[in-house]
Amino acid sequence: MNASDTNLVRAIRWPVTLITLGTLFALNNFTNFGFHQTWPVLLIVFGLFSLLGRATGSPPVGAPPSGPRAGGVK
Amino acid sequence: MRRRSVTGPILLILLGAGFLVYNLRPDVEFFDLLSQYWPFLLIAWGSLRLIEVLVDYFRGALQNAAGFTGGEVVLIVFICFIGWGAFAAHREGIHFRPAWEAFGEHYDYNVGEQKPAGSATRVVFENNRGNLKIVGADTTDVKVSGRKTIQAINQNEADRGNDSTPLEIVAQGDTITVRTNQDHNSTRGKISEDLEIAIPNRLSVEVHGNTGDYDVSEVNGSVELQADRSDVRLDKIGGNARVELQRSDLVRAADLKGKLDLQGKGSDIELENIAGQVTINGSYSGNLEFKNLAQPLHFESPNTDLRLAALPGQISMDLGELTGNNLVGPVHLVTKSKDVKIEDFTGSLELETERGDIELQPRHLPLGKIDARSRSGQISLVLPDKAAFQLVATTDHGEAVNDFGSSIQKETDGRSSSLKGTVGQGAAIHVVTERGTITVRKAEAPEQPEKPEKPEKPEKPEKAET
Repeated sequence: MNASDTNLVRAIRWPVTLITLGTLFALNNFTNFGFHQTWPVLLIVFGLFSLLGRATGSPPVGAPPSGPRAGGVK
Repeated sequence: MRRRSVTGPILLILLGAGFLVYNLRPDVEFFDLLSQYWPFLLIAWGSLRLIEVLVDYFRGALQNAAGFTGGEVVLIVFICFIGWGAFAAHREGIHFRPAWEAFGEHYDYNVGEQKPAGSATRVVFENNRGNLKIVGADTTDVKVSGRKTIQAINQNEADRGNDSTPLEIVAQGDTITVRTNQDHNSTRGKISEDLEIAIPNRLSVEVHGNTGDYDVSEVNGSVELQADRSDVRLDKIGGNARVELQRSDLVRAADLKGKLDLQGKGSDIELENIAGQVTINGSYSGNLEFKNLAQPLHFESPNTDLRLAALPGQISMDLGELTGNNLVGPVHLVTKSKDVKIEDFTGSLELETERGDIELQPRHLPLGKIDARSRSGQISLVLPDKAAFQLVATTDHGEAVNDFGSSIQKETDGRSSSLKGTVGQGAAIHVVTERGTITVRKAEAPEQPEKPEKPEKPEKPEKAET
């Protein structure tokens, strides 16, 4: 379960980033929020994924491979 | 074994659909739409990948690390840059046409149509691209003649384009519509039409277009113009005029009996002899000339707000300078960075400039109230000899120079100095600059204001009208 979650987070990282990027550009084109204003959202998304990656725990070397909820899955 | 992504095939289908639309519906400005809606491609792409990942996950078939390949990342960055540029160009009013559409030759066709105006009260022109010259005359017919230019690979295609875009004059109710039907073009070639139109001068005129110059004269009804990119000339218009342009190099209006309402972005404006109120709202980067406006003027741009009650004289303005002569107040002028020079005004004056010199030379007596401020700039005040006033002129950092005479006293306090003086029972003159020299002097020799109406008999200043 744990390894699978990590994989999921890794796998959705790029698609979600891409959707975010598209949304920001769409906002830029159709609303008054320019990309030059909204780009920090991308940093936030990266940060969130980084956190999620940690929460689902890429298990540290030497940790029991299938330990019960080693990283505290949320 | 990892399933192959469905994203590639779906993008291919979209691409095919796009080109199909492009080929079959020439009236849809495909590239123009693409320049606006491209972000949704990214969203669609991302969504597809997301769905794939989730499907795999719930099937328990999620494989390790399904990241994007380097090629995909490069492609995304590439799309972002191109799209960003395309949208910027779109917003500037540049319409995209792919390079291969620019080839071909120009084929000319004569167009002409005539129809009695009957009881219609207005005539509407729908000409996407091309110039219109509309002249009112003592006639009963709407008569259109001119030339259609079609860009095409060969005569055959040009003919097809011509056949699909007939010029129409349609009467319906109180409206006559002159339509060039360029949007019905069945070919991809660019069409533009230069038309000369004679209309009964009692009609009102309405023009909707994309690009082209509009020249309207001798019309007694009202005039309404709307275009993306256009130069406009109005001459001898009886009714109100309303002009809305996204972009223009020149807007000229002369001899208007009604109001003028001008909106948009552009460069030069020339207004002369306008009997009605003038309202201008927009940003204009060129030379602005206003002459002989009988009613209030309100000019509003991102940098300047100018209001005055009438303008018997003239105002010239560009981005850095405003020169005015013979203004009727109350005059209100707030501007960011302009040198302001106003000679000869009546009524009160309220002036504020952030960076710029101010030169004021009222000639009409009695003087009105003057309140002039500059953040940074010299202020020079030239007052008539016999003027009555209560002057307070202050500079926070700078010199104060009194060339007026003993009735004005100079005070200096640290780096600030001021000129104060009261002569007779006059209006308050308040002049302030934060940084710069202030000069007050007397007008050389009793000024004899020349009235434009009767230049041969100048009145004496002390008798001048208010």
